[in-house]
Amino acid sequence: MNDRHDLDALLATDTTDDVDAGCAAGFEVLHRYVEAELSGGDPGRELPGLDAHLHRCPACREDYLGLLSVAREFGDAGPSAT
Amino acid sequence: MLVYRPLVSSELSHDEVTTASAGHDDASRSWVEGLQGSGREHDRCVARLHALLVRVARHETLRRAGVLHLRGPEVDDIAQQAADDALMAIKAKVADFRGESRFTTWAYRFVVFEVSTKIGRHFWRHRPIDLDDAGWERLPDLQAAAPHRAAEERELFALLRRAIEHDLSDLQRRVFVAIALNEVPMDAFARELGSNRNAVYKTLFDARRKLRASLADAGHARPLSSRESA
Repeated sequence: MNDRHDLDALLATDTTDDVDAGCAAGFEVLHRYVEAELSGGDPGRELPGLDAHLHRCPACREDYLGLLSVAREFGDAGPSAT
Repeated sequence: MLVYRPLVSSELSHDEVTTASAGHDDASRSWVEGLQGSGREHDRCVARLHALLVRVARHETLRRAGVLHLRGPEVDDIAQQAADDALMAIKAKVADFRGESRFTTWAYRFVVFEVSTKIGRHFWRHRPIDLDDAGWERLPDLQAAAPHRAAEERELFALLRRAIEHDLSDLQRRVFVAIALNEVPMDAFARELGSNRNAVYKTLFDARRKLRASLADAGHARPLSSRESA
Protein backbone atom coordinates (compact mmCIF):
# COMPACT_ATOMS: atom_id res chain seq x y z
CA MET A 1 0.00 0.00 0.00
CA ASN A 2 2.74 2.45 0.96
CA ASP A 3 4.56 2.94 -2.30
CA ARG A 4 7.47 5.02 -1.11
CA HIS A 5 7.75 6.56 -4.51
CA ASP A 6 4.26 7.94 -4.31
CA LEU A 7 3.92 11.47 -3.00
CA ASP A 8 0.32 10.87 -1.99
CA ALA A 9 1.42 7.93 0.13
CA LEU A 10 4.22 9.97 1.70
CA LEU A 11 1.79 12.71 2.68
CA ALA A 12 -1.14 10.38 3.40
CA THR A 13 -3.48 12.16 1.04
CA ASP A 14 -5.68 9.13 0.81
CA THR A 15 -9.25 9.30 -0.26
CA THR A 16 -10.91 7.94 2.83
CA ASP A 17 -13.49 10.22 4.25
CA ASP A 18 -13.27 9.34 7.87
CA VAL A 19 -11.63 10.46 11.04
CA ASP A 20 -8.36 8.71 11.77
CA ALA A 21 -8.93 6.64 14.92
CA GLY A 22 -5.29 6.74 16.01
CA CYS A 23 -3.16 3.85 17.24
CA ALA A 24 -4.58 3.21 20.70
CA ALA A 25 -8.27 3.29 19.79
CA GLY A 26 -7.54 1.33 16.65
CA PHE A 27 -5.90 -1.43 18.67
CA GLU A 28 -9.10 -1.76 20.72
CA VAL A 29 -11.10 -2.81 17.67
CA LEU A 30 -8.43 -4.41 15.49
CA HIS A 31 -9.73 -7.91 16.27
CA ARG A 32 -13.18 -6.91 15.00
CA TYR A 33 -11.71 -5.52 11.79
CA VAL A 34 -9.78 -8.73 11.14
CA GLU A 35 -12.70 -10.94 12.03
CA ALA A 36 -14.99 -8.99 9.71
CA GLU A 37 -12.50 -9.47 6.90
CA LEU A 38 -12.11 -13.18 7.55
CA SER A 39 -15.87 -13.67 7.56
CA GLY A 40 -16.25 -11.92 4.21
CA GLY A 41 -17.67 -8.72 5.65
CA ASP A 42 -16.72 -5.16 4.88
CA PRO A 43 -14.45 -4.05 7.72
CA GLY A 44 -13.85 -0.69 6.10
CA ARG A 45 -17.53 0.11 6.30
CA GLU A 46 -17.97 -1.35 9.76
CA LEU A 47 -14.93 0.38 11.22
CA PRO A 48 -14.16 3.41 9.05
CA GLY A 49 -12.02 5.12 11.68
CA LEU A 50 -9.68 2.16 11.92
CA ASP A 51 -9.78 1.68 8.17
CA ALA A 52 -8.53 5.25 7.68
CA HIS A 53 -5.84 4.73 10.27
CA LEU A 54 -4.58 1.53 8.70
CA HIS A 55 -4.06 3.38 5.43
CA ARG A 56 -1.80 5.89 7.18
CA CYS A 57 -0.01 4.18 10.04
CA PRO A 58 2.63 1.69 8.91
CA ALA A 59 2.99 0.15 12.38
CA CYS A 60 -0.71 -0.55 12.86
CA ARG A 61 -0.93 -1.70 9.25
CA GLU A 62 1.78 -4.26 9.99
CA ASP A 63 -0.05 -5.36 13.13
CA TYR A 64 -3.20 -5.78 11.06
CA LEU A 65 -1.37 -7.96 8.53
CA GLY A 66 0.13 -10.00 11.34
CA LEU A 67 -3.16 -10.50 13.12
CA LEU A 68 -4.85 -11.44 9.89
CA SER A 69 -2.18 -14.06 9.28
CA VAL A 70 -2.22 -15.64 12.74
CA ALA A 71 -6.03 -15.55 12.97
CA ARG A 72 -6.13 -17.51 9.73
CA GLU A 73 -3.47 -19.93 10.89
CA PHE A 74 -4.38 -20.43 14.55
CA GLY A 75 -7.85 -18.91 14.87
CA ASP A 76 -9.81 -22.04 15.61
CA ALA A 77 -7.67 -23.23 18.48
CA GLY A 78 -9.53 -24.08 21.65
CA PRO A 79 -8.19 -24.72 25.14
CA SER A 80 -8.45 -28.46 24.69
CA ALA A 81 -7.19 -28.63 21.14
CA THR A 82 -3.79 -26.98 21.20
CA MET B 1 -8.24 23.66 10.33
CA LEU B 2 -7.24 20.04 10.23
CA VAL B 3 -6.75 18.55 13.61
CA TYR B 4 -5.56 15.13 14.59
CA ARG B 5 -7.97 13.72 17.08
CA PRO B 6 -7.31 10.17 18.18
CA LEU B 7 -10.53 8.53 19.22
CA VAL B 8 -11.12 6.74 22.44
CA SER B 9 -13.32 3.69 22.35
CA SER B 10 -16.32 5.60 23.65
CA GLU B 11 -16.05 8.01 20.73
CA LEU B 12 -16.06 5.47 17.94
CA SER B 13 -18.85 5.85 15.46
CA HIS B 14 -22.17 4.16 16.02
CA ASP B 15 -21.16 1.24 13.86
CA GLU B 16 -17.89 0.98 15.73
CA VAL B 17 -19.57 0.76 19.11
CA THR B 18 -20.48 -2.83 19.52
CA THR B 19 -22.85 -4.07 22.09
CA ALA B 20 -21.82 -7.28 23.75
CA SER B 21 -22.22 -10.08 21.36
CA ALA B 22 -25.14 -12.45 21.68
CA GLY B 23 -22.76 -15.11 22.90
CA HIS B 24 -19.31 -16.48 22.54
CA ASP B 25 -18.60 -19.45 20.35
CA ASP B 26 -17.85 -22.62 22.27
CA ALA B 27 -14.08 -22.37 22.01
CA SER B 28 -14.09 -18.74 23.09
CA ARG B 29 -16.34 -19.52 26.03
CA SER B 30 -14.03 -22.32 27.08
CA TRP B 31 -11.01 -20.05 26.97
CA VAL B 32 -12.71 -17.37 29.05
CA GLU B 33 -14.10 -19.81 31.59
CA GLY B 34 -10.74 -21.50 31.91
CA LEU B 35 -8.87 -18.25 32.41
CA GLN B 36 -11.39 -16.90 34.88
CA GLY B 37 -11.67 -20.19 36.76
CA SER B 38 -9.40 -21.61 39.39
CA GLY B 39 -7.57 -24.76 40.32
CA ARG B 40 -6.12 -27.31 37.96
CA GLU B 41 -8.45 -26.44 35.08
CA HIS B 42 -7.32 -22.85 35.23
CA ASP B 43 -3.68 -23.86 35.35
CA ARG B 44 -4.18 -26.21 32.43
CA CYS B 45 -5.93 -23.52 30.41
CA VAL B 46 -3.16 -20.99 31.10
CA ALA B 47 -0.51 -23.51 30.09
CA ARG B 48 -2.33 -24.35 26.87
CA LEU B 49 -2.83 -20.71 26.04
CA HIS B 50 0.81 -19.93 26.66
CA ALA B 51 1.91 -22.79 24.40
CA LEU B 52 -0.41 -21.47 21.70
CA LEU B 53 0.84 -17.90 22.14
CA VAL B 54 4.43 -19.06 21.72
CA ARG B 55 3.52 -20.68 18.40
CA VAL B 56 1.64 -17.56 17.32
CA ALA B 57 4.50 -15.30 18.38
CA ARG B 58 7.03 -17.42 16.52
CA HIS B 59 4.86 -17.33 13.39
CA GLU B 60 4.57 -13.55 13.61
CA THR B 61 8.25 -13.04 14.41
CA LEU B 62 9.26 -15.09 11.39
CA ARG B 63 6.81 -13.13 9.22
CA ARG B 64 8.58 -9.92 10.21
CA ALA B 65 12.10 -11.31 10.49
CA GLY B 66 13.11 -11.17 6.84
CA VAL B 67 14.48 -7.68 6.55
CA LEU B 68 16.20 -7.91 9.91
CA HIS B 69 17.94 -11.22 9.16
CA LEU B 70 17.08 -12.53 12.60
CA ARG B 71 18.67 -15.84 13.50
CA GLY B 72 16.91 -18.80 15.07
CA PRO B 73 17.87 -18.04 18.67
CA GLU B 74 16.79 -14.43 18.26
CA VAL B 75 13.47 -15.48 16.78
CA ASP B 76 12.89 -17.89 19.63
CA ASP B 77 13.88 -15.30 22.21
CA ILE B 78 11.55 -12.67 20.78
CA ALA B 79 8.72 -15.16 20.47
CA GLN B 80 9.12 -16.38 24.03
CA GLN B 81 9.23 -12.89 25.49
CA ALA B 82 6.30 -11.73 23.38
CA ALA B 83 4.22 -14.73 24.42
CA ASP B 84 5.06 -14.23 28.10
CA ASP B 85 4.09 -10.56 28.05
CA ALA B 86 1.01 -11.18 25.92
CA LEU B 87 -0.18 -13.83 28.35
CA MET B 88 0.09 -11.37 31.23
CA ALA B 89 -1.92 -8.78 29.29
CA ILE B 90 -4.55 -11.32 28.30
CA LYS B 91 -4.99 -12.57 31.86
CA ALA B 92 -5.32 -9.00 33.09
CA LYS B 93 -7.86 -8.05 30.44
CA VAL B 94 -9.87 -11.20 29.89
CA ALA B 95 -12.84 -9.66 31.68
CA ASP B 96 -12.94 -7.04 28.91
CA PHE B 97 -13.50 -9.67 26.24
CA ARG B 98 -17.04 -9.13 24.97
CA GLY B 99 -17.32 -11.78 22.33
CA GLU B 100 -16.97 -9.32 19.44
CA SER B 101 -14.68 -11.81 17.74
CA ARG B 102 -13.27 -15.21 18.45
CA PHE B 103 -11.33 -15.15 21.69
CA THR B 104 -8.19 -16.16 19.84
CA THR B 105 -8.35 -13.16 17.47
CA TRP B 106 -8.90 -10.85 20.43
CA ALA B 107 -5.97 -12.42 22.30
CA TYR B 108 -3.56 -12.59 19.37
CA ARG B 109 -3.64 -8.79 19.12
CA PHE B 110 -1.49 -8.71 22.24
CA VAL B 111 1.02 -11.13 20.75
CA VAL B 112 1.31 -9.19 17.51
CA PHE B 113 1.79 -5.95 19.40
CA GLU B 114 4.43 -7.46 21.68
CA VAL B 115 6.32 -8.94 18.74
CA SER B 116 6.31 -5.56 17.02
CA THR B 117 7.64 -3.85 20.12
CA LYS B 118 10.34 -6.41 20.79
CA ILE B 119 11.48 -6.61 17.19
CA GLY B 120 12.02 -2.87 17.35
CA ARG B 121 14.91 -3.50 19.71
CA HIS B 122 16.67 -5.54 17.04
CA PHE B 123 16.10 -3.06 14.23
CA TRP B 124 19.01 -0.75 14.86
CA ARG B 125 21.49 -3.59 15.06
CA HIS B 126 20.62 -4.79 11.59
CA ARG B 127 19.74 -1.55 9.83
CA PRO B 128 21.77 1.25 11.40
CA ILE B 129 20.47 4.59 10.24
CA ASP B 130 21.85 7.93 11.27
CA LEU B 131 18.78 9.68 12.58
CA ASP B 132 20.50 13.04 12.27
CA ASP B 133 21.24 12.45 8.62
CA ALA B 134 19.24 14.67 6.28
CA GLY B 135 17.67 11.65 4.66
CA TRP B 136 15.06 13.82 3.02
CA GLU B 137 17.70 14.66 0.46
CA ARG B 138 16.81 11.30 -1.04
CA LEU B 139 13.64 12.87 -2.37
CA PRO B 140 15.14 13.43 -5.82
CA ASP B 141 15.39 9.64 -5.97
CA LEU B 142 11.65 9.53 -5.67
CA GLN B 143 11.38 11.76 -8.65
CA ALA B 144 13.86 9.63 -10.57
CA ALA B 145 11.73 6.60 -9.79
CA ALA B 146 8.86 8.17 -11.70
CA PRO B 147 10.40 9.32 -14.96
CA HIS B 148 7.04 9.91 -16.57
CA ARG B 149 6.40 12.77 -14.25
CA ALA B 150 6.92 16.14 -15.78
CA ALA B 151 8.22 19.53 -14.73
CA GLU B 152 5.34 20.13 -12.40
CA GLU B 153 6.26 17.06 -10.42
CA ARG B 154 9.88 18.15 -10.23
CA GLU B 155 8.75 21.48 -8.86
CA LEU B 156 6.51 19.67 -6.42
CA PHE B 157 9.35 17.62 -5.01
CA ALA B 158 11.54 20.70 -4.78
CA LEU B 159 8.78 22.42 -2.82
CA LEU B 160 8.43 19.40 -0.60
CA ARG B 161 12.13 19.32 0.13
CA ARG B 162 12.05 22.97 1.12
CA ALA B 163 8.98 22.41 3.27
CA ILE B 164 10.62 19.47 5.04
CA GLU B 165 13.69 21.57 5.70
CA HIS B 166 12.06 24.81 6.73
CA ASP B 167 8.46 24.20 7.81
CA LEU B 168 8.74 21.19 10.08
CA SER B 169 9.95 21.27 13.66
CA ASP B 170 13.10 19.28 14.39
CA LEU B 171 11.08 16.44 15.85
CA GLN B 172 8.59 16.44 12.98
CA ARG B 173 11.45 16.36 10.49
CA ARG B 174 13.16 13.48 12.27
CA VAL B 175 9.94 11.50 12.46
CA PHE B 176 8.95 12.15 8.84
CA VAL B 177 12.41 11.30 7.54
CA ALA B 178 12.68 8.14 9.61
CA ILE B 179 9.16 6.78 9.19
CA ALA B 180 7.96 8.07 5.83
CA LEU B 181 11.22 8.22 3.90
CA ASN B 182 13.49 5.63 5.50
CA GLU B 183 10.74 3.23 6.53
CA VAL B 184 12.05 2.83 10.05
CA PRO B 185 9.48 0.82 12.02
CA MET B 186 7.54 3.15 14.28
CA ASP B 187 8.06 1.03 17.37
CA ALA B 188 11.80 0.98 16.78
CA PHE B 189 11.87 4.72 16.32
CA ALA B 190 9.63 5.31 19.32
CA ARG B 191 12.02 3.26 21.41
CA GLU B 192 14.94 5.35 20.15
CA LEU B 193 13.08 8.51 21.17
CA GLY B 194 11.99 7.09 24.52
CA SER B 195 8.45 7.62 23.32
CA ASN B 196 5.59 5.40 22.20
CA ARG B 197 3.88 4.51 18.95
CA ASN B 198 0.89 6.73 19.56
CA ALA B 199 3.01 9.81 20.17
CA VAL B 200 5.22 9.15 17.15
CA TYR B 201 2.17 8.69 14.95
CA LYS B 202 0.72 11.97 16.21
CA THR B 203 3.98 13.72 15.25
CA LEU B 204 3.96 12.05 11.83
CA PHE B 205 0.34 13.07 11.37
CA ASP B 206 1.17 16.70 12.20
CA ALA B 207 4.22 16.67 9.92
CA ARG B 208 2.20 15.39 6.99
CA ARG B 209 -0.52 17.95 7.65
CA LYS B 210 2.04 20.74 7.71
CA LEU B 211 3.66 19.55 4.49
CA ARG B 212 0.31 19.30 2.74
CA ALA B 213 -0.45 22.83 3.87
CA SER B 214 2.91 24.06 2.60
CA LEU B 215 2.27 22.52 -0.80
CA ALA B 216 -1.23 23.96 -0.86
CA ASP B 217 0.08 27.42 -0.01
CA ALA B 218 2.40 27.09 -2.99
CA GLY B 219 -0.52 26.23 -5.22
CA HIS B 220 -0.10 22.47 -5.18
CA ALA B 221 -3.00 21.26 -3.12
CA ARG B 222 -3.14 17.51 -2.69
CA PRO B 223 -6.52 15.88 -2.96
CA LEU B 224 -7.08 15.27 0.74
CA SER B 225 -10.61 14.32 1.54
CA SER B 226 -10.24 13.15 5.12
CA ARG B 227 -12.11 15.26 7.62
CA GLU B 228 -9.42 14.99 10.28
CA SER B 229 -11.49 17.49 12.17
CA ALA B 230 -12.03 18.05 15.83
